[in-house]
Amino acid sequence: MPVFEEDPAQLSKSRLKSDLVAHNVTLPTEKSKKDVYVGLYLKHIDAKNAADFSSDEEDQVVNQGHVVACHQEDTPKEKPSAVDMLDVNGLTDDELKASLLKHGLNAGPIVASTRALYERRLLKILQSNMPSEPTVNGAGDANAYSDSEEEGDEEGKDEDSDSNDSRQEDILTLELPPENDKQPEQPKWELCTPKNESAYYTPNASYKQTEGLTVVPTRLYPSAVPILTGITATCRRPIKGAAGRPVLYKYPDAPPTSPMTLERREVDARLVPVYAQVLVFLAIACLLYLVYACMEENPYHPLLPLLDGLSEALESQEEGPVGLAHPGDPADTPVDL
Amino acid sequence: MSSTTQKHRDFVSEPMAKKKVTALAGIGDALGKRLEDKGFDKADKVLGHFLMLGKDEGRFKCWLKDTCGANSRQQDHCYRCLREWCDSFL
Repeated sequence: MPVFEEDPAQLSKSRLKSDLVAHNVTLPTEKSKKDVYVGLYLKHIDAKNAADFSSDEEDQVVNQGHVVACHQEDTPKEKPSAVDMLDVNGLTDDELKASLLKHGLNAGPIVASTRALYERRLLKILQSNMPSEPTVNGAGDANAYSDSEEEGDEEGKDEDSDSNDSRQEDILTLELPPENDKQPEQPKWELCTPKNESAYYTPNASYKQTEGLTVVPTRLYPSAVPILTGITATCRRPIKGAAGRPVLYKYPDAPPTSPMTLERREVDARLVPVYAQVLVFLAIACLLYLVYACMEENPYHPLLPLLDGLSEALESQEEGPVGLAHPGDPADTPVDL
Repeated sequence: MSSTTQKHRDFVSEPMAKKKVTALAGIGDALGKRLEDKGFDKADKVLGHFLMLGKDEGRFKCWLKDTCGANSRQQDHCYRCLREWCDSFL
């Protein structure tokens, strides 16, 4: 991760904590002042940067002097909370999920990007179990996972609350999983990284979003109902030809088995009912038959005069030859058998 | 290019809606059970993780192997299935 030359004092307390954890520095107690974190940050992280960047000598000298002053302010308090933080970080994904389930939180898949969220939740639950007053952070949680605009506001609130130095709702830990995977997974399957990168890589954008997350102080939500789980999940509509593009089926011949397509088919079928089609067909068929039946008598009418004409012509032809032979017919034609 | 299985064609032919993880090509009952135990009980959750890994073949296959112990053939089927679905619907 590239570290820019920033004044650590300008960073928020949560950012300092996360950076310290990323550099494997043991965190001071929960209620330490910001200066302690700044001191540790400068001591460890700037020392590392000095090894990489030779141009930071001036800053290093100034910071070391500052570090000496800061260390005198160390006040160890509440060691059990520090132990809790370390324990949560050391849990595997499965153990984390099991412990969340034990406390009544049905967590989703625990991946690199979601692990930080679930660790925070577990710590909140543990913290709420230990002291007498319960932390009312259910509504705050929902806000913490919303747009980045709200996170900027929360960061400002966090810096204001540092001066009060009495909050239990501050961000407890924020583990940034390192690029090289170190999570202890099941021994059966080895982690293979063909590109020498972690399979649990998370994009930088998600880091930037989660770094500034803080829990909203309870005073803003005095009427909030205490919810331990605080998870509200809504079903998402399925993607149908997103971005205005038509849905292209690669295998149009394959019979779709989803209930949605079947419903669509039924609806299409009902637009033109089958029995109506049959009735219309029968009506037209009857009409045609009637027309044909009427037409059966017609041929005689136009043809009759023709027949009459033919018969007259035949008679006129027959009279000629028939007239000569006609009187002799009875005599010439003896009835011989 | 090897031919696609019927399961692959069925999955890629329509939006995945609320299909279970076992509807993915290459994911049978055993692998599906393991994925569900990890929290990936629906195909769209696996899709989400696939997109988070940047639709990268190597990373997704490694993750699949670690999560449910899929062999290389099953990994390949699942990856191609999801990639084709994304090409069609995203």
